[in-house]
Amino acid sequence: MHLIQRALALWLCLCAVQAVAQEELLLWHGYRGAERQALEQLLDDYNRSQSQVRVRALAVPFGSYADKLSAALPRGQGPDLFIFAHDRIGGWASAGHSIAPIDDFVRPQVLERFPDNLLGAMRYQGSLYGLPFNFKSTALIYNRALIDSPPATTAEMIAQARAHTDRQHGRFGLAYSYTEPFFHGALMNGFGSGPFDAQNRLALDSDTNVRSVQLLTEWVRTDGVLPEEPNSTLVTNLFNQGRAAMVISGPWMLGEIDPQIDYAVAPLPRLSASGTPLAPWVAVEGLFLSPWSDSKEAAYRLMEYLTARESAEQMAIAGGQLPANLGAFEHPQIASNDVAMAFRQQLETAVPIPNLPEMTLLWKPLENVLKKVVKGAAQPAAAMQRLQRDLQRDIAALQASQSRDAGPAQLPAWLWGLGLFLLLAAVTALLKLRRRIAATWRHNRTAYLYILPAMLGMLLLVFFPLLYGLLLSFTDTTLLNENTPLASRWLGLDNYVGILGDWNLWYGAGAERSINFDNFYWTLLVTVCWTASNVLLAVGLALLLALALNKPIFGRAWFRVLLILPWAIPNYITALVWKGMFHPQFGVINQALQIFGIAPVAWFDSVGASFFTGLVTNVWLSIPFMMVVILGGLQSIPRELYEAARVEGAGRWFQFREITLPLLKPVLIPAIILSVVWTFNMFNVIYLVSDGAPAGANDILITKAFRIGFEKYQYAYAAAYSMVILALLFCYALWQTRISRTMEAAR
Amino acid sequence: MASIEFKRVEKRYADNPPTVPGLDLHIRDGEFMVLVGPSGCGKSTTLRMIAGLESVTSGELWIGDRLVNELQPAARDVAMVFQNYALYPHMTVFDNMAFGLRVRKQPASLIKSKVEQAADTLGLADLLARKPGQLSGGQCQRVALGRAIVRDPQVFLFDEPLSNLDAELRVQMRGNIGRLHREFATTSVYVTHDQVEAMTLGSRIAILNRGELMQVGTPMELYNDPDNVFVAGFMGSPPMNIVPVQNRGAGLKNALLDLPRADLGGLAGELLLGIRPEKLHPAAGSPDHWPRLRAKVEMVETLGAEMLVHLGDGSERMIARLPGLQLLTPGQTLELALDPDAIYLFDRHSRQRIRTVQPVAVAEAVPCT
Repeated sequence: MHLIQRALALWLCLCAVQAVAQEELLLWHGYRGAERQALEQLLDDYNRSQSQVRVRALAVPFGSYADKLSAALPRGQGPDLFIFAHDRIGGWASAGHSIAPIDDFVRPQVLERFPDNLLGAMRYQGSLYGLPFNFKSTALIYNRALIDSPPATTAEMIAQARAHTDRQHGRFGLAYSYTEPFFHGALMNGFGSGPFDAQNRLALDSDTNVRSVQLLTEWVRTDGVLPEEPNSTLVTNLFNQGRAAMVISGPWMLGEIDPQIDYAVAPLPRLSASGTPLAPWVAVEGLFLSPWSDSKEAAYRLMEYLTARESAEQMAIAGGQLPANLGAFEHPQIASNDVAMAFRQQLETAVPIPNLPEMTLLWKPLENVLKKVVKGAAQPAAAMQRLQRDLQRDIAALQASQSRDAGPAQLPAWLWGLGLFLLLAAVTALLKLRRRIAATWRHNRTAYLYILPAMLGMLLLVFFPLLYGLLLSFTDTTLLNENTPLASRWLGLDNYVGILGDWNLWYGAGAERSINFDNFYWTLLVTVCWTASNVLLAVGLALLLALALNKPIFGRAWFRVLLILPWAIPNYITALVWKGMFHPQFGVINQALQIFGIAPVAWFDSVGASFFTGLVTNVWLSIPFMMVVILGGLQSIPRELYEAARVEGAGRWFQFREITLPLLKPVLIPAIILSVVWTFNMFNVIYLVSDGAPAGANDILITKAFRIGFEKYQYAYAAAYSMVILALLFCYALWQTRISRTMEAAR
Repeated sequence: MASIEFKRVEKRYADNPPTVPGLDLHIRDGEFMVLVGPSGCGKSTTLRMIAGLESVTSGELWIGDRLVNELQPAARDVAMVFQNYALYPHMTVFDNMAFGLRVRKQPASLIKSKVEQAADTLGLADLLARKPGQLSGGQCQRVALGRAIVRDPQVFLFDEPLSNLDAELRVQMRGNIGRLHREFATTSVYVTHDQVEAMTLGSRIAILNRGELMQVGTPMELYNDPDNVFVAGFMGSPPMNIVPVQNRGAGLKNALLDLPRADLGGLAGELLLGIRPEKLHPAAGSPDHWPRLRAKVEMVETLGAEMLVHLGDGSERMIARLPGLQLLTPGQTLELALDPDAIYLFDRHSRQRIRTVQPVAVAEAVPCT
């Protein structure tokens, strides 16, 4: 006994010593493949080289990385340090408790490793929040078989591009995702200061920004050297097929270039007008410190280690990164790599993406404006002015929510009253019914136990989020204040008033008057039209097909399988396939139209055509289910009924109207109810096919709610929006239940 | 009203052997013809060919003076009552009955009066607003009948209409159908596998087996004068006793029987002898010249007024229908007399009736014991 106690004590002591001696650091990153291996190798070396600190790395799947950080960091549950792109610094710093400045630790000589622009990316409101690790910017990638020497000016670039453009045969001198703000940044920065002015105020309507959009419009519309509706896949494909002489893209594309293509990379050319170089945006991955870390000192030392020249060389050579420590580029193996050196050279003129929190609001609206302008649907100046106004409003909303927590706030008294009342009501009910509750519990104990897991699941996954959403909808929670106390965010019914009371149905006046697509009632109208037309078409076509397949026609079994097949394909894949088919230039639909001598349709430019793309996709997706349901219903109708009707002299139409349709009702009505709800909330198709084009005109309520929540970061407003959707569906369900009940009664 | 004529009508599905191989049958105007036979004998197919629900593969089918081979059901002016009633579940009784008239776009007032009249005849007047789901089987069947009669068609077709009803209702409905036919005297074709229904309803009965027409005649003709073993065995319950016998020149003999001489001429040695159970009488009280048989009682089914006595001796078995007066115990030996006028002979191979000879030389009959 004595011995055991002693041994135990000794072991505990040893453990304690070990704990003191060795700090553990947790590092999160989103790397895969070679990058991950290179990083882990570095960390292994680090762990072996000393014994005080032990570093553990966690590779978070990239898709969920940002969300995971945003969820974990403010609650003190994240890593000690993490690697992430720099553009979120502003948001995290404003929200608080997410990221810690490293000014107290940093040694001046360490900062000399990095160029100023990369260091600048790590600064927000005067504080340094991390050390830059690597950078990614766009540059000019060109096909050496077509381009002898890269252009030095934009005029040269367009001239060369024009020589290689043959729209008839789908050949383009230049291709890049020019409607994406990340790419257009090169022009904005080249002309002037980018979306923000020197005082970090939004300046989208500045003369230089308007000129950048004008130049792009000229390239697209006048010079015609760029493909329509570009995206990264299209750009890569064109380049790989030798049908794009030059593309603007970043290091991420290099791995996808066909080995047959002899390519080279060069910095972007200078603007011919001013002689200033195009300045692409650079995304800087940095090493950041969690404010919750117990070992900040050790974490900082790890940052120094990882950004040291040897580490940088290893990350460059083994991991294929472009290291932020520019000393690594002197390593012979890197210095001899033309591609790496070209990006290194591009860095001289590149500008870090602004790390202001407002920047997150800018991506999608700016993209919408660029899409509109290059199609000639809007004038650059007017569009940018309107965008400036809209964004200023959204930014003001975010800032208002952030500044409000400065003042003391209290939850309204009635909320406490309501809570108290509900609690009292619950307690009274429990007391009143305790006998019955106890009795049923005794009687049905097993049954209750069986449903317990499901009840818990419902509580956790349905009722709690619902309640949380409801509560959220009465606040003005945004990206910037979600961690402040609820009381300071309380807003009352303002969100609902804002949604339902917004009668700004029009923009502008007179001849320039246009529909305000952001208005709730427009979106509601679109949603209702969307739902009605989808259900009508899907049910109608499915009925026709089911009627055909119910007859003993040749190859019936095969037709059935073929028609049900779309169901087996995940709907987002189907949606993306249709989106591809609707591409105005390369889509199979327009090509087919052209074969028949019909002019190609710009599918995503007008409200009607864009609506049609979603409609076709969703009907295509809905038919299999509807058809199976209807086929089942048809087969349950006794054959004698038709025989009796035939003997009675009824023709086909009469049989269909008087027998088939009424007897299908019991299957049709539930199917229609389901279909209505599914279509009403069909996020995937709208988001993936038309993406609400043009300019959000074809957004339905659910995609609009998503955009408010995750593109404008107005979480509370989005919650209120969702509550309105829920209320609408709830009314629909009530009405539907009444219909079904009368139907039951009539049977 | 119309007659129906099958002329070498054949029905064949794909390359299978024909379901109906060349049927010749004349159904007279106003007649109640019952098609009867075991399941799969082609009786329903035959009926459905009249209705136009099945096409005719070859041959001619006439209704009245019209060749209807290519005519749609609607154009044939027939009404059909289905086994499962085939009532439209979503329509009221009234709408079900009015269906055919609505199809023909009759004026509403006429439809109303016709339906109400039919409903009165069938005792459905109180049920007109109900739906089939709220009716009993018998009521459903009456609605189905009503739907047929409101149209006043040339021909009524019944496809085993009573088989889903219980025994009591069946008797009642049988009465109803018989009454309706007497009332309207419309040509009717009635399919059943139940020989009691056939006997009670039919003006004439056509017995079918494997698509072949076995015999057509009035119920009593078929009962008393069957053309072949199949008809003999099909009609009557329990069926006619058919037992193999040896023609010994001087008489017919098997394990149970030893009939005295008959003039059987050159008939083959192996024959089939048939006698109905009710034509076996207790020996006591039967005329002396009737041939006798002695057999062991195997089992007795007592039905009250009468009893069915199963007689058996090794391979041969017979059933006798005797008055339910005496007490019989299995194992006991029983002596019975055969009514010589009710003995039938059949060829063992063709299974056809042998009409050329009188099986028993009655005058010279000598009691066996």
